[in-house]
Amino acid sequence: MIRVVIIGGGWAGCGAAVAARKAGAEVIIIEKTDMLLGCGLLGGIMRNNGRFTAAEEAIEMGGGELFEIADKTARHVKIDFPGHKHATLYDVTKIEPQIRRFLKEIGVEIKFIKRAVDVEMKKNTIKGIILDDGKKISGDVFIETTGSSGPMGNCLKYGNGCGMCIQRCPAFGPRVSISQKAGVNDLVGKRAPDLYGAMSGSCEINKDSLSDDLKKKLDEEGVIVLKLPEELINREKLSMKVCQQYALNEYAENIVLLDTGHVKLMSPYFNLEDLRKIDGFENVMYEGPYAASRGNSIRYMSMAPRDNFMKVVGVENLFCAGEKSGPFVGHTEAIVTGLVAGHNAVRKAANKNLIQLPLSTAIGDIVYYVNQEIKKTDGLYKRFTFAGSIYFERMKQLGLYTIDKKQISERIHKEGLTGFFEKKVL
Amino acid sequence: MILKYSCIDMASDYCPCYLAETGDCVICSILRGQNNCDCRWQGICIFQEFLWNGKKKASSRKMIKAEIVDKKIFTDNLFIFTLKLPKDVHTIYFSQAGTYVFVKSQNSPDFYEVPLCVMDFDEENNLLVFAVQLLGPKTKALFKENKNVVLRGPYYNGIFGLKYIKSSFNRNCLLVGRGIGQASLILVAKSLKRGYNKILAVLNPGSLSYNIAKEILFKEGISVKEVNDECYEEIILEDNYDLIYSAGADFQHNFIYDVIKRNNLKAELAISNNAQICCGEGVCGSCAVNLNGEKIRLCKMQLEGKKILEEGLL
Repeated sequence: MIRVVIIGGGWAGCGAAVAARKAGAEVIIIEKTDMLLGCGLLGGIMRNNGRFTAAEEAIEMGGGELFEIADKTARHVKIDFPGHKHATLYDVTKIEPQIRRFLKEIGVEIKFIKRAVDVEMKKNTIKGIILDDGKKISGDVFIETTGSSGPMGNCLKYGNGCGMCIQRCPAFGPRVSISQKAGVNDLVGKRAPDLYGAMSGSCEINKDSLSDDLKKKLDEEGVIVLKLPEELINREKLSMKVCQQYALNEYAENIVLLDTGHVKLMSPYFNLEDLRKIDGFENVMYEGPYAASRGNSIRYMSMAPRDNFMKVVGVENLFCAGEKSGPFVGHTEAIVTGLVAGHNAVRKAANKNLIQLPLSTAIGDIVYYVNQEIKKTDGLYKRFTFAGSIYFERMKQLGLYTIDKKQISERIHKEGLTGFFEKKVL
Repeated sequence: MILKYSCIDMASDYCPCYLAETGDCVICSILRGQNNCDCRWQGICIFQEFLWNGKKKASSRKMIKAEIVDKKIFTDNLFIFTLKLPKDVHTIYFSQAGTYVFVKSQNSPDFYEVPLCVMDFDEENNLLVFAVQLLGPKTKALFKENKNVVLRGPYYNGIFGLKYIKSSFNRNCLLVGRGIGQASLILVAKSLKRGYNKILAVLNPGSLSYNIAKEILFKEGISVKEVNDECYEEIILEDNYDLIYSAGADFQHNFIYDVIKRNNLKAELAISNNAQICCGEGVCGSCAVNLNGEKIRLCKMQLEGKKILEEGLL
């Protein structure tokens, strides 16, 4: 049986695991922390703007279980907030065990608190992944979904220092770029000619620490937009942010709160003393990053060059997805690139031709478009998401954006991709 | 494959060190001037420590003036002396297996410093004991001193494969000490004794005509076997050892490793660090060796004993 080894158990790794397992392979996920979902543990925003289209495409193609679990744990559906429509907010305090159970049920093996630190190569082929305890995990094909944020050295060098985020590098050790260890140079995102990376765009407040009024409103409506006092407005933060879809003036002048189980504050960091000056915030405390007064994680430090099959250029049997595969933003983007990588990884190991999803689908188009764009001179300054900024504009122009499920179903059917991920390759 | 090594001083009072300031940190890629964080993670971020410390190294080892309170001359090339440390310096920092210091007579220039392993310590009276074989100008100058010396330390990388000694619990251990190498046996034996290990010490006087570790090991209740030739193979095969510590010349290390390999023994191996060490800080370069293009500073870098021997680094 073909053995697929996935390095990193975030949303992209989970997406890859689902697709590879469905295609008929034995699947192992190596995860350095004690939980799946990575940054998705403090995420929550699904189905806003073009993400709706992409999620539905994945469901039509038979790879939609992760979206369905997110829908099932949703605290709020069809909510609008500045620049965004019809978002679903999953409950970050409930989703991880459900995803974990689902993956175990479909037979994915997960190794927690095991950190991949190196590769064993034979020419351009990876034979095994070396863990920090020196043990080796062998496989036929590998998928790197280690993301691009951290380790804390990068957060120190390019950010405001370790914010003690959900990745917990000091406890579980740093992320290691597997593609780099396999001899492929990483691409590094920029925010200025001499400044690398970008900062994660939101932090989480403990909901119980908000005033009862605000809490009640969030529970009922899912979103609150409050005008910031003039002295607290800091527009500079916008240019630091990863999430260009949220780098709008509204987010500098207002405070945008979303109910994701915790309260998502759409700002990369915020001095607690200042935050407590706002009505209803007098007692607030952070839930993540714990040091959000100071900073947040730096990302896009470690992207692999890849082709449109999600295979890393220069290594025979290494695929990638999520932020590892380009300057993508978001869970939806991670899951769908994961699905493509997971499926193609099995095809590669089975010596079958690899599949590029057609450009008539949002998923196929973003995989292709991002790959074109990052090769341009200013490409490493850009970020891509179905939810806003340049890529959502493109979706609208090309007629890819729709929330009409029937239209999406027909689109996928026309390409002969209905249930595509369900079909066994082996 | 990445080479498995760590820095003996990482996370100690002396980290970050001079090498962080000069851009040569053994562990941290960013301190070495690279753009991306890709370290030999050992539980802390040295870059963070360095920034918090105002981009300066942590405290450095002090020069400590110490009084010679006892000196025994055994043969024309061997003497043992005991130092009384000043009140503000505690022997506890000098008691880990593999600890060494630099010692010189109080009036000698700094380049007369001799690297000496700590043979024994007396916590109650704040004493350190050293054995010296007279070999060249440094040891001869030290021999002439009867009152005060200047000591610099502690340094900890006197043994490769140290983790096996520190982690050994309830196991069967063999210590082989030859000549002046025996001086490092006592701290190892004390450490293993704390872990309830069964210990046999094999002593070979080598080019000295005296087994310097014998008396102290006896006092510690350790079984001692005295030999006069290299009959180690028989001794090793007489019992099932989990850990062997070899203290002596490189040929002894290689001989013992060869016995382990030929007989497919499960024993882990720790060996004394025989590199030429002059500064102990990774700065002077006298202990540096080249491994696949990478510079290995043997005074600071902790490697597996077996790896050192396989690569012929000593």
